[in-house]
Amino acid sequence: MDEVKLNNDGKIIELAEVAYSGTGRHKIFDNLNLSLNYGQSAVIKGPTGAGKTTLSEIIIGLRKPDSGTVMVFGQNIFDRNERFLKLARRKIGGVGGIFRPIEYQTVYENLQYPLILRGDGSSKRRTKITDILNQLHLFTKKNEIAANLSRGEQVLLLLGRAIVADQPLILIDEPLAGLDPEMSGVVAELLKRLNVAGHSLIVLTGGRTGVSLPDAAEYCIVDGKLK
Amino acid sequence: MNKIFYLIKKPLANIIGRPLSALTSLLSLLLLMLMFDLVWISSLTVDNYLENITTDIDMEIYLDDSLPDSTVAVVMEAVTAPDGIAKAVYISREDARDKLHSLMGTDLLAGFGENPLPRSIIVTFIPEYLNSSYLAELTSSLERLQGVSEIYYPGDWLEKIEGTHSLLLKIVIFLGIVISLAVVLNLLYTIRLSARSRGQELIQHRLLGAGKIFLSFPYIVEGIIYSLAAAAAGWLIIYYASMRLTFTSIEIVFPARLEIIYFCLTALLVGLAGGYIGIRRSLR
Repeated sequence: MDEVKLNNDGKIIELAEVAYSGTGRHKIFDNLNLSLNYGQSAVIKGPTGAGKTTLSEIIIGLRKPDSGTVMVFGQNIFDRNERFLKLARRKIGGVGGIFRPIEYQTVYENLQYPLILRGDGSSKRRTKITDILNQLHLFTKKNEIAANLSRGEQVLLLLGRAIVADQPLILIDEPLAGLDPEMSGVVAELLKRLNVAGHSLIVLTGGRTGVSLPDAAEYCIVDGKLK
Repeated sequence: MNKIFYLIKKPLANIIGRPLSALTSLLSLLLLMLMFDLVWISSLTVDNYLENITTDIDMEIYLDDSLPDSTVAVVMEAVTAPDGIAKAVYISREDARDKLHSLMGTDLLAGFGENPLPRSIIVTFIPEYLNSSYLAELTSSLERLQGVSEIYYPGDWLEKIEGTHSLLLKIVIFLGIVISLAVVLNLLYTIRLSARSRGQELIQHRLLGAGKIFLSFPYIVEGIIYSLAAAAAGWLIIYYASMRLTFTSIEIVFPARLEIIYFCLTALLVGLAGGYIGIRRSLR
């Protein structure tokens, strides 16, 4: 079976003894372990170059670790075929790092792609996107090119994309970096709401997150391990 | 259904989204297609011309003076036996004299006591058999017949025509390959550029769980649109030009309608191949 089955009683993500060197000799991760239940969130801190973005790339299946297992939605993504990876990615959202809005597309176009992949009709898409845009106070920017949005609005757009796609796992890389205090507050509040609504958030940050997630596990990347 | 609608709409949006580069690609492909069309028409026209020349070729078989008239029928039977003979006509001495008379306008043999012209058989051929190797083979077998003194046909000339024909075929094949290759490369780089300009989109769509086939499809369709549009436009231009030009000295031969449809279908396949190869690298 290739279908990604969400088992709310199980682990949404489980990394065991992951080692990764990339192209260099230096080990970025060495015996890294991470385990999160459905709905549980984690804040992972680490200085620049510690491997925060690499970690999200491993979780999404873009980089294969040298050793160890990466279980996402209860299955080892590197043992499965392309179809599983494709379906798993539909359940993983992201903000920052590799996840960016498509700058030359409108806000609406950015939001509609996951729904097209799901096979939703145009009226269903319109209803859903309008609803999300209203929630995020972005409705007036519906036809705006994503490049014209502020950094904060782009973060909201990507979170909107994860909400519209109903993605239970969201990888968030430096969510508040470069945001003004007001927008930081809006984003932090939205992340909290998503966490409460049952989304598992993995927040990757270089310093203070500025985000308080109830019951979120806190880790630091030290010497290629999560501590 | 919604996915199919998206997959049809997307390549058109890609083309409209980059109007200048789309136009550049289309024009360069159109030029290549026009070149191919003209090479094809030229080859058909020359081919037709050469074929018309060769159909006039016949063979003259001269009979030995010692052969009695009563056995001419036997020789005629032997001459008409091989495959490829369309017609064999016996020319008696008197027929030959009449022919010469009508050709020259005066009886040149009036001073001769006896008609010195030989009897002969004029053989014409089925066009498909008209080639130098067949005629050489036929000549050597007919020469062995008793009563045949000499055989004549324009062998050197036929060989020259065949040589020209073969050279022309080689040139057409070479140009065909070069132009086809140029079309594929042009398409490949058009699609590669199109994909590169949407690199960010491809990455994000892959992260959102789009499969390689789903991502490739709009680019493959884009390749097909370019190729098919250029091929069809090329023929339309040629059709328009042929309607307005009158050729009197040489008959211009155009491919049959069905062949043009096949050509456009081939262009579709070339577009598909160019689109597929063009997008493949961007999805690695």
